[in-house]
Amino acid sequence: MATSITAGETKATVPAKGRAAAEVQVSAPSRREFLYYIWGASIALLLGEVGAGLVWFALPRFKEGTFGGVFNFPPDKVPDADKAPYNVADGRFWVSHPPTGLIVLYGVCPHLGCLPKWSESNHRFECPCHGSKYQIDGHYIEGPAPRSMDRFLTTLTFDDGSTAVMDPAGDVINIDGRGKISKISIDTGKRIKRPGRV
Amino acid sequence: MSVLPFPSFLDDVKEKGLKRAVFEGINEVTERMTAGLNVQDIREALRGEPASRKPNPRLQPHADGFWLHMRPSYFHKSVTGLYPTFRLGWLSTYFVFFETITGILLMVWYTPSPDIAYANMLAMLSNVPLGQFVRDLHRLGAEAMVLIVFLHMLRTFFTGSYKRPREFTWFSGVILLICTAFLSFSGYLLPWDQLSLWAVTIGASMVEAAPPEVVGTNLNLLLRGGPDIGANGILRFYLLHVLLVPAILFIFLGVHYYKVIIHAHSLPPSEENIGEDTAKRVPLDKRVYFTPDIITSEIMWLAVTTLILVILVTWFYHAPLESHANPQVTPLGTTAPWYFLWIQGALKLGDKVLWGIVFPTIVVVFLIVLPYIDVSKTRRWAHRRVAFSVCLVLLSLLVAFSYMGLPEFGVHNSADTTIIHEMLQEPQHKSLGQLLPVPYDQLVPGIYTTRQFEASPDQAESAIAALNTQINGGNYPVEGGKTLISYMNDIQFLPATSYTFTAVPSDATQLQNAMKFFTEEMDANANELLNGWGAVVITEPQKNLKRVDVIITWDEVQVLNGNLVLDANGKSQLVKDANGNSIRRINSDHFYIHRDAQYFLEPGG
Amino acid sequence: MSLQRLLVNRIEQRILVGTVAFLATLVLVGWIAINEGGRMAAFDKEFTGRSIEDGAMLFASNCSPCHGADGRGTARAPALNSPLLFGFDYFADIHKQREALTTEQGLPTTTQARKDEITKALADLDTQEKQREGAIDAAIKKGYNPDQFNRLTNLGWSGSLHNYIYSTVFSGRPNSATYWPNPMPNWAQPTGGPLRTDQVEDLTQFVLNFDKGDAWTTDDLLAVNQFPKAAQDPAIVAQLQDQINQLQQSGGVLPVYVGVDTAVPDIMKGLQGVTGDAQHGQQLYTGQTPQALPCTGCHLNGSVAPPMQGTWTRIQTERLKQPQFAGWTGEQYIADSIIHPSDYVVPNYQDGLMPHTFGSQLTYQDLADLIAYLKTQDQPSS
Repeated sequence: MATSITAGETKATVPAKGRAAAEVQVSAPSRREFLYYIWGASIALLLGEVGAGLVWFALPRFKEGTFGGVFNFPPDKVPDADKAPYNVADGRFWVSHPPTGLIVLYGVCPHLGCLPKWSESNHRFECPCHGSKYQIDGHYIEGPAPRSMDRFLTTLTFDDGSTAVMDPAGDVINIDGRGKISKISIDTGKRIKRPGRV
Repeated sequence: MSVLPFPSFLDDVKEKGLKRAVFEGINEVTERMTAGLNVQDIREALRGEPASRKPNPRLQPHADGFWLHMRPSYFHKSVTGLYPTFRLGWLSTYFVFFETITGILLMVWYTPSPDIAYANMLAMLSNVPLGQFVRDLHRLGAEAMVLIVFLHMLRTFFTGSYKRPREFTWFSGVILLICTAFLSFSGYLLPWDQLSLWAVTIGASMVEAAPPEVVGTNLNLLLRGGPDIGANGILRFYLLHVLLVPAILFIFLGVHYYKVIIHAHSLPPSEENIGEDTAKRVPLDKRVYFTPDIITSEIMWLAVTTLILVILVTWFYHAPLESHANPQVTPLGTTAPWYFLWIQGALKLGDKVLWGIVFPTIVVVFLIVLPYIDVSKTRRWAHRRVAFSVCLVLLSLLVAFSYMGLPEFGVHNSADTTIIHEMLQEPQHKSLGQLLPVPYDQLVPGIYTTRQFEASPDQAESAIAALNTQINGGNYPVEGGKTLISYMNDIQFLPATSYTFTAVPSDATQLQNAMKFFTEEMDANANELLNGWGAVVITEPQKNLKRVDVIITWDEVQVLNGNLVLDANGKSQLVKDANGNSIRRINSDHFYIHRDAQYFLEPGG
Repeated sequence: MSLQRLLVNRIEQRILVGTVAFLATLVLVGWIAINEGGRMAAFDKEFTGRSIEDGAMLFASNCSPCHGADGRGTARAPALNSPLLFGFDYFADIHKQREALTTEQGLPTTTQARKDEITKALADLDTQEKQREGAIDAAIKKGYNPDQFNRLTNLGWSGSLHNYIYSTVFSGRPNSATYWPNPMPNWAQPTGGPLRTDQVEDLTQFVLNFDKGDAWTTDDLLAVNQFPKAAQDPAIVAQLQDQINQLQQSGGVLPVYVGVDTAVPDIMKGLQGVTGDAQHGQQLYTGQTPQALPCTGCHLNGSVAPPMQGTWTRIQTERLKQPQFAGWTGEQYIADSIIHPSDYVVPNYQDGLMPHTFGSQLTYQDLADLIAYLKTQDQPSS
């Protein structure tokens, strides 16, 4: 056996436990040992693939039209500017039309998960559980919520074919002078959280 | 003087330096985790060198460790190869764990309710990644397991390994065989398609036949949870399949394996002296140690078996899914799974109590007492000629009964029903009938007749023309005061206004083949379907959807007690009505084919 | 190759076989995983095909007796194989062109020469429309209204076509003089019927497969045997049925309703040559005719709707002055307000209160009468 020291290995003695301990061999692995290591690597690879496959197998999948998938909202149901937002229960979102444009808000309060209601008389969202309040564009007003209402990534298509997409910060989509909206695509799999009460 | 207020790893680091302390730490952990082997011992084993310290550390895990205390520390060399055991016992255990794992994976997506189960199957096949893969593995594994455990039993019989002192091992094995059969049977119901429902209904109905009547009735109700198999039934079968039978299986697997180990694996009879059982006294030069040789072999066989199963499931095997279970319609050709065909065949012999309850019970009891009634002197084949002969006779009976259990055997339907069924049948057991496999575009809309193929190719046109004249556009009188048109309109809801036969387009080769088959069948049954001809009507009611009707019409012939009444020349005789005219019978059925629909005909499809 | 070497190497052979086997499994599973997306999509398609096949079988045995084996309807049940169910507009191109031309005509920037061109083009469109209507005259006589070409809109159904068909099969329909004199049985097991819910879904897929998208032809329309009807008040139906019967017996012309979808230019076209009777208009307005119109209920005192008194003056002096009504006539404004109430809401009043269904209750004569009556309202309220 060669006695050259290979990287990472040193001579060591195992603490005696009433039995004679062998000296660890510092030589390179024999062919058989090496083959075992290769085999072990292939087993590790396969287990890795199986693990990934398992996760992929068991992950829930979202079909269009179900919560988690993409909703196509009919443009004629968009409320007029500054009028009461439109609630889609299946998708758990509000389609809201503040004076500045269009925004789709996730209907679940970012505080602890209740569903804020729209108060027509106060012209704002009010959560019945702990009193968090939000403006028509989801902006935080008051209450224990840590941030403004979340939004869903929305893509608008106009009559002339141009599109407008919600920006990554989740701001209201400006629709001034853009013409008639022909398609509204709301991806409830892509939720945008605001960085705070902004 | 510890680094921390208590002794710790950091003390070692301080004393010996980080590198050495880490290495020694790993070494110690390895020895503890493997219950006796440190890094050097493992490396020696991997190299194939003998152990360098005494006592042999490779035996320590078998004494101290949980997992390896269940495995022997060495095997006799003669039982480590493919022969004589063919590793069937090992393979059976492999399948137990294989089925458990794939079964648990399927449980993620399955709900045992008649309203949901079939939709779950569809979801698994269309919206779960690797869903079809896992399902096919589970189904293939189940069928393979039944075969493997049976072969294992056969091997154990041939090597006489059930003889003293291993009789109880054999008994626990019979219990395991029954558990395997019940697992397969209960799992069969869960996809809730037509095959599941009716195959299991037949099986469950045998329970009802158990005498005395009160026992049979109540056992049946207990099993099904209702008069027929519905929501309660599928839930009970699910509980059986997932909880109760696996629990019994694992208990008896433990017993069985324990017994195998403490008596040690029986040796091939040629290697022992007559009358001796030397399995437990293995000479040193015949020992093959578990680490590394046996465990290497076992992992290799695991790899190879898994690969074979994956290959089969990728290209050669796909679990079928027929149409949704319909408690009101039993499809023609319903049959038990292949491993229960022998019971089906036995049932066709007569009384269902005798053949459905008594006969299988006798078989099981016979298996159980076999070790106790076997009086051959030794395990040598030469001394067991009688036993072998009896075994071969029983195997032949098994095959014969299984053949009799096939749906075609003994179930006689009228020729017209049978022919129409063969042309148009619901996909079942991989068989699709004659017309379903025809490519969509070859089903050219039109009306075709078997008369075209009865005549020789140059006479075909005139044969068709002759028939057209006969049927007069469809105004052709048939039984019940109807015409061809009114029968098809009123009874079959086919809104055609006139019928004119044309020749099958010459490039529609598979349609031609189907028509030729149709013609041959009509010919073969010419006596029963006297003066008969067949027609196939293809229409396209919607885009990408075609409707195919098969019509058979013939003159009624005399039948007595289910047999044709033949004259002196062996020809059947017409039935005449009050006016002395023959009665023109008609039978028809149809199905729809959508361009996209597929029925698992091609593996991989 | 000595036996010894063979035996010594046997372990290594096994290691190699094991490694190769695991790697091959890795590759195979990976290959399956890569193809999964396509396989699942293909399976979906296949199973929709099977669903349609099953639906076709169920339709043939359960539905053809009433709906016709070809789905074109019989006296017992309306057609499903019909462009009306799928909302195909035979006049879509004409309507669109007319609207574009009329809008252009009304713009202040259009030259007179161009306006003349447009007038000629509109006249051509009229001829085209008449020709097309002639081609489908047989269908119109059977009850098809080219302006009410979408069954779902006519019924005010806000869900999808799939859900409409599914729920109809599922629960059936009671008979009603307003809708249809024959009941439709309920089919789904949860409602006591014979079919499982997956079979109801199969039937729905089959009916949906009748759709021809943009490829509906006039032949398809003419082949329909039986059209459905729009919902109306039973008393009105009875009276209107009497009127229709009388007209048929006397050989007169059946009334044509304005329609809820009809665009304003088409409405004005329909009003041409129709002389309005203000007295009848007043009767209509005050709910004394069979239609029992509810106008006065909202428009009498102006709290929830603009008051009737002085409306014509206000229209002339205020409304028509607004930019979106440039080039409009007062009659046009009234027609638009009645048939399409949400097109423009007078400030300080709420949208969505005025019914949108008057188009299905008023003929052009009725509308002309109403307009004539409202023209008399030129005294402002105190």
